[in-house]
Amino acid sequence: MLADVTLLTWLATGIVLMPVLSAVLLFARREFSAHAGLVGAAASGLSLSLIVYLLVTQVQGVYVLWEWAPDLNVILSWRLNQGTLAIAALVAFVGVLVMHFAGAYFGDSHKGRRAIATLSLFQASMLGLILADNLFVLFTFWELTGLCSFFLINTDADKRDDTFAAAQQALIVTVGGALPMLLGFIYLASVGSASLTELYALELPVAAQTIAFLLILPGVLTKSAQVPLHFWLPGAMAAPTPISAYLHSATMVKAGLILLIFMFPVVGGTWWWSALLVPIGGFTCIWGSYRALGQDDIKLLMAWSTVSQLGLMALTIGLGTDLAIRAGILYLFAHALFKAGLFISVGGIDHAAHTRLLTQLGGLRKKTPALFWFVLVLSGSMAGLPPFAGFLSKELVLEKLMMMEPLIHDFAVTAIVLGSIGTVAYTSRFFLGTFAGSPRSEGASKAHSPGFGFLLAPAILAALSLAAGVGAQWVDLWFLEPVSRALVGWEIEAPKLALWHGITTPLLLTAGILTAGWLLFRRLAGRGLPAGPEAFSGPVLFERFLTSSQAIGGRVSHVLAGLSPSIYFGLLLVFGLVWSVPLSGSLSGFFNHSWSFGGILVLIIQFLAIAGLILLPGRLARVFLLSVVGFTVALLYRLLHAPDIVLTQLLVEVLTATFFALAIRFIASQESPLPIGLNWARLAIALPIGLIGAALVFALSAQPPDPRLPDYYHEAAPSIAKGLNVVNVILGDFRGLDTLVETVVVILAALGVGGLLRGEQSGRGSKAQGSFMAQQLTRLILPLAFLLALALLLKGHNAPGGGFVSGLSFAVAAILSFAAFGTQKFRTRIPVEPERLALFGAVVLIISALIPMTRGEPMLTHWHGVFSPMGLFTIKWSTTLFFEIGVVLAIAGGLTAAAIKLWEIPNDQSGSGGKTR
Amino acid sequence: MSLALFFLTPLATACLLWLWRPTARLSRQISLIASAVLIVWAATIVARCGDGEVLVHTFGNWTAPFGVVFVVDRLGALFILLQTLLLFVALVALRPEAHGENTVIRAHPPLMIATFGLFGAFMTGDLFNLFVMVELVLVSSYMLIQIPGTRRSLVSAIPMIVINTVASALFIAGLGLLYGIGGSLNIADLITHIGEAPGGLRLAALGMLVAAFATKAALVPLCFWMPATYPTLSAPVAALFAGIMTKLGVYALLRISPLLSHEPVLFTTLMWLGGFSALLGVLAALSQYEMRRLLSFHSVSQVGYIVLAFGLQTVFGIAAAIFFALHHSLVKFTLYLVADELERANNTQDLRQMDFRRPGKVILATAFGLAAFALAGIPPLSGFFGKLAVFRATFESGEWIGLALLILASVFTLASMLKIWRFAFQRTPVDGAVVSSSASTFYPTAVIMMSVLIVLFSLSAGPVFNYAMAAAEQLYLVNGLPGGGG
Amino acid sequence: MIPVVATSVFLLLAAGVYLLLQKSWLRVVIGLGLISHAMHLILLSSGRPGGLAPVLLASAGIEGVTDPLPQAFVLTAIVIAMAMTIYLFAAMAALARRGKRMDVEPVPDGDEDRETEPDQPGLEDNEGSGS
Repeated sequence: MLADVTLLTWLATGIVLMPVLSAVLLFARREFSAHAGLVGAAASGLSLSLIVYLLVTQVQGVYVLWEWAPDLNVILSWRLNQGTLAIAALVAFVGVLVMHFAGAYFGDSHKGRRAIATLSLFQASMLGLILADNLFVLFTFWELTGLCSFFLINTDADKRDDTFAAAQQALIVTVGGALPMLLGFIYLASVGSASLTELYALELPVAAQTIAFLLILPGVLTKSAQVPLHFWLPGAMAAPTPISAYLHSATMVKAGLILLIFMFPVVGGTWWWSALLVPIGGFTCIWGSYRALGQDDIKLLMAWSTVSQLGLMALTIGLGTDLAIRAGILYLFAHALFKAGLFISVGGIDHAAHTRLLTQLGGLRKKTPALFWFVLVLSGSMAGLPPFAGFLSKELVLEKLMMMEPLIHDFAVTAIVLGSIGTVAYTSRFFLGTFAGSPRSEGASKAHSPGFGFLLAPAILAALSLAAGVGAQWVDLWFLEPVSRALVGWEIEAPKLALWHGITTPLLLTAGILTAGWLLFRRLAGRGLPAGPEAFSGPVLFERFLTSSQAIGGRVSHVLAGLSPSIYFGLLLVFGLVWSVPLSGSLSGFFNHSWSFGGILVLIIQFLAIAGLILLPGRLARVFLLSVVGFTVALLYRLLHAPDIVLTQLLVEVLTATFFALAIRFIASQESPLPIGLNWARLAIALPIGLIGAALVFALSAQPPDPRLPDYYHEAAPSIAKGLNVVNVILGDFRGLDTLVETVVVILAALGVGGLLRGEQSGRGSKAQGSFMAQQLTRLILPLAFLLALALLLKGHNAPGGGFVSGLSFAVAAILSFAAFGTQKFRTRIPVEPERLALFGAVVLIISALIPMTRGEPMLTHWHGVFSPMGLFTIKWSTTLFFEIGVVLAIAGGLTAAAIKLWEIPNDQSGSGGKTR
Repeated sequence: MSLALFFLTPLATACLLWLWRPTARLSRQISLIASAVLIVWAATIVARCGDGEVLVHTFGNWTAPFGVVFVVDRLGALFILLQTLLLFVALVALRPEAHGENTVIRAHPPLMIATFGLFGAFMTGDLFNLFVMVELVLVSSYMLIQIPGTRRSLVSAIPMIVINTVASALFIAGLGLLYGIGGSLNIADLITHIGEAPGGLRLAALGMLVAAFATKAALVPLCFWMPATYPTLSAPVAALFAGIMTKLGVYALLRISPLLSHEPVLFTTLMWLGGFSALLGVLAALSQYEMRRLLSFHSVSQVGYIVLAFGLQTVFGIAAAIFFALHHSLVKFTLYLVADELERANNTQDLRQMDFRRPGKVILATAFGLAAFALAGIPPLSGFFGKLAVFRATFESGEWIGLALLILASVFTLASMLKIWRFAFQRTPVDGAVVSSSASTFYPTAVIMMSVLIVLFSLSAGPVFNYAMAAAEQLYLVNGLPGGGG
Repeated sequence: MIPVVATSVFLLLAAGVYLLLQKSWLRVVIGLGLISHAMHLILLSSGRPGGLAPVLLASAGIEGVTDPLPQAFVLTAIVIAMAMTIYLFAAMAALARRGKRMDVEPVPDGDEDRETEPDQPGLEDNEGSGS
């Protein structure tokens, strides 16, 4: 995993790690607030040095750092070549300048420190995105840039109201677009590879390229703000200026375009590449330009102009030829330089004149002369004036356009020309509106030159824009050539870059654009242009989408959880039993089997009891009839020859009826005594379900039985387990674990009853209630009952009986004694609290389970033996008895405890005012 | 051998606590020690199963299928470890100073019993034994629900008890059918015998089981009980519920998947239910302002992801489901803990009334951020790997509608997490000041632990997923899977 | 005996579901009880009941003896169902004591109905009420 990592890998990792380190430092140490900008800049500088070193040493290849999740094709590896390193260098370089500026902008503040820390994290993510070789790692960094952007846009949340909406919009739109992109990556990984380098080596069929491209496109369009998914970008201007300068002009928004460049060798062969990118890019270019014309806030103006220029780049890349990509790369770099510079200048202007509105600025030429010159160069570059870099790159683009086929050619040229005309116009408006004329507000008239921190970056960037333009040949030789070759993957035959090629079409076009733009500016005379109806603007639509989703969600939550529970009960039954419907044919078995007279009798009683339950009034009647039904079921068990079940069912029925009667004292007042009556809707559901149940019985009986288990039990029970009551042996021995757990269930239920009724008891216990006769009778019966329960326990192994039955019997006996003598007497007689008895039973069970393990046998193994002292008599003993004693204690204790809790609630206390019996 | 001891430890602890009745602090110490021991033990189990070893314990010395056996494979081991981790952190978070002495004393034993039942459920190789274990977990959860003793907790408990009883009734009937056609209820035995069984009864039986398990997993449309009851629990308990109780249903489905492979229609149904749960759950969550209801609807949605991956009927899908289940448990648990702190600080469960301004805000916000963004699937956190796995499984199976549902659900998940963030941690001037909150202290230990766990889990996503893949393959060792992919 | 069992299952299940869908929790719980009876019968019938009882006398062989395993299952299920039923009764009684009606309604959300008595000292679970 990490073992084969070389020095170069660490160096590459270091590029990404440096900003992370500075972020950690800035988050952790509050003392750095004053120097946060310097720390950030230093980290960027270190990254830059590493990058430059790798560039100079011409490093090339894939360097694997860590196989994060190989099963999912997520491998952390870096793809180093002149191209990726060059773009990384751009990001790092601009980062140095932006960090420095941010330090000046925020001053000594904790908010600024945290913002710069987050900015560093963002930078790390951006660098990682560029250098990643693995598609999923790239995706990781992609999303991380979005996440950092979210937090950064929210920096001024305490001062402004609109930050959250803007940040949320940006994040959701970009993440939403990234999801299909993830699918595209998954697809590429499945048909090719997850590694970009390997993908370059493969040649995917065009169909695959198309699919992959179409899936990746939404991610690109959202991240790089192409129409119609561009609307989040202007909103992101709620972020402080340094953030906008870095993310929303030079780096993050380029990520989509960078990805396109990376992807070109892989999926660029599909027709859809041009078919979609050119129109979308073109419209974006025009629309962004148009909207920029109407902005008074120069920051928003810059934002819209970014949209426009992103569109231009998308269009260029969309042309889909190597030369076009080359042009796109150059424009990308040139744009980063002037845009970052312009945003930072906007920050400077804002700081100087305390306003960003063109209606209030003016005359800054005299107040801030340095800024004037820098912005002049930068604006000139943006407008495409020679001899700046912007001109150079735009010329290159136009050159490429000339080579395209007529259809694309016409549309693309129109788009770019129109967009550029707008660019010239709004740039003029911006520049002249800010610097020329006289100040239109107090702030502007009092403007002073902003400090060094605000001027350094624009100075350097302006210088670069100029130098790059003037030194075109060197740019070509040292930069564009190797970078394009590295990124596109093969040699490009390209005409050399130069400022002057002679009177060419592009030059004429440029001249025309400049002229037309200037005229447009004059025509508009500093006014704006309408933006279109607000209601259809992106942000508004997005808000409406969120709000209506919430509304739909409210309805959904009502259906999911707000309906009457009866509906859900019915749903569950339907869902569970619908699968049995095909078995309804087995109902024909109704006529094939024999009926027994006893069975028919039981059925009649059962039917009458059920009918009474439903049709008769009276709550107590229902208690009684429910017990009758239970007894009929016990009778059925008798007819089916299941003696243990008969005993259990009878006792359970007695206990249930008792508890029911105890509880109904209070419930009765809240429950209507009217008969339940017939409701056809519910019958319509109930009757078919009943039929399904019957069908299941028939279907089961038609199945040939599997004798494996029964035969084994019948054989092993007497011989190995030494018991003749096979059911009891199963419960106590073969499947002892079931019994153990089930006993714990009873204990818990009993303790739970105590918890439910906590605080309800009168505290005094109940007095004797029965008549004298009843008490005497009970005195007689009780010992017999106890003896009987004991007997059931002891003989359970070989005859019907057993732990459960015994425990239930004890409980019944105890309740009998309450009835006669009251619970007070009971408690004085029995020294142990029933709950403790029950828990003691649990302990016995645990011990019984553990003892065999001392002999090295599995849990719950039982031994059997014969005790015959001196041959006089023999007693067969078995550890199952010990186990069953535990069961008895638990069940008897638990049920008695629960009964006491219910019994001792007086009838007259607050709440129900329940009636007595 | 030690398997049985491991299994009994929580039961013994519970009995000790109930019989001895120590003070809240002592009870907490005992429970913490016990659960810490369990973690270490569970880790060794996971390690041993990682080599493919299957740990067996034949209770009563009866061979399967005549007796009950515990069969611990990778799947069981994973869930056991998860449970021990969550239990420990829940016990850390449940403090007498924060939640009341009586609540703590009353909660510890049922928590231990629930753990006991869950261990049993995860380890058993017998379906009837599974039934009994599930019932035990249910009863202990009922006890936990009514600890607050408020009227609301009672009112919400009754529908939940009823629906679970209905589900248990279906479970029982299904078991009866299975026994009728398979001759035993031992899982391994059933796997070998159920192929020749008649299709009608088999479908009926398995369908009942699926319905019962789907209810426990809170799939649409059987999820109503969760938003009703979870807000009433004391929060660390709710966290544990959200973390593990729903996973019981998921685990049961996973365990019987070799049986289900004979009735593909069930898989398909689950897949669709999962997809709709994913979308509908998160939409419902989006509309909520009460934080715990929001989170429980979220659980519905996330379980939808799991079940959808499960329903794809591929080995990779099952592995994705397992991984996602683990990730979701950790993350959801953390979110509930965060919710607890927020609620106690502002004395309300309503987001609109929340404003967390006290020392420790950074820690809480970080923990929330980690968990929330992990839930939303932002890389490089665990949710991303989970989502990647589920997306890939769905993609490879060609279920485009499912993919569309998942993508929509993911977007809404992000939106709902941002909503919580907005109200709880980031108030803007337009919100104005909130009425001053209670003077409760913030105990960051539990939340910090979970943050570390999430980070560790994200970093080790590779090995964990590898383990999950192996677990998925192991499930199908006996019975091959049609078209097993991945 | 099979048709007898089947008819009984039909009666119990139909009545149980009918009651389960009623508007009062008490009826719902009664319905649950009936449904449990039905399901236990279904479980038992998987053992093809009707033969001799699975209690072996020393002299008898194992011919015609019913499958004991479903009987054991049913026993366990009955006891568990009893525990749940008792718990439900107690829960309803507790609710009734606080004046809540037994109507089957959706659980209300929001902070309403949250009496702030989350940590009542009260009597401990394990103590009896005075001794």
